[in-house]
Amino acid sequence: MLLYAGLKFLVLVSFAVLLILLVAPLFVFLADFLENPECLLIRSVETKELNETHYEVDLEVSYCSTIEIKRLEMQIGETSIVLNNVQKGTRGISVVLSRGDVEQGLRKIRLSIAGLYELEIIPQR
Amino acid sequence: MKRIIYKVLLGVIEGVVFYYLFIVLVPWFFADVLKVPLPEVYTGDPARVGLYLGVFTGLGVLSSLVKAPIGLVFDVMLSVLALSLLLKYTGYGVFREVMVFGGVTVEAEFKIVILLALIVGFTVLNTLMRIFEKITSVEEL
Repeated sequence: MLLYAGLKFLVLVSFAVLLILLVAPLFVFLADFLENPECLLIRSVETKELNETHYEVDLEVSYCSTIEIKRLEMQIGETSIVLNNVQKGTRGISVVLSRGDVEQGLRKIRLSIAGLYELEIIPQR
Repeated sequence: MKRIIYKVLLGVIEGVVFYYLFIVLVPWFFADVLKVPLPEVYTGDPARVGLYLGVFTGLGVLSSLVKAPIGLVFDVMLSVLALSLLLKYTGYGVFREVMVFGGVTVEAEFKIVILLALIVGFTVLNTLMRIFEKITSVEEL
């Protein structure tokens, strides 16, 4: 019976620890976003015309939270751009996009917060 | 007689704890602490509170009074009801809202399924442990 009581206590402690580990990153992430609504900012810095159909676009991704984004997926037109392990700071990337993609612009952003929670943002037109 | 009153009281406390934990506390934590937009707001109007409290305490009292194995059914029913209402009020861990984000109107979908899965998993485990305790106490008698 003592063994069972120990097991019960272990289950309860494991639950509490897991709950704290799961809630803490979400809490910090949401607090950072509520404090700064522009915590995640994606903007094009420069657009160079490669040929009649394609452009080279320099994008700048700035992120303010200490909680890592394990996977950031941006859909620009029909092209999907994936960035892994996005951390606090500014990161630049260069992508080749078709004229149609540039005209359609950003259609969807999907991010995995600390690899635990998913957030999908679709701009309304 | 004393034993019956004790068991009824124990059942009432169990029902009230289940009600507050699953219907009030967890949705409140999601809505007010984590600021996630819940799909269905639990208004807590008197009729609904009365209904839920009545059913929860009723099941709690029955699970406490009725001996195993029949009493175990009420234990399981209490947990299943609490979990199904929790999932209903937290939208199964998927929240959708239209909001203004950086000056642009966006539709946001937020999934916190893993957090609910942990709560459901622990509740199931806890129910199994309660059943085990009741079965072993019957065998000991």
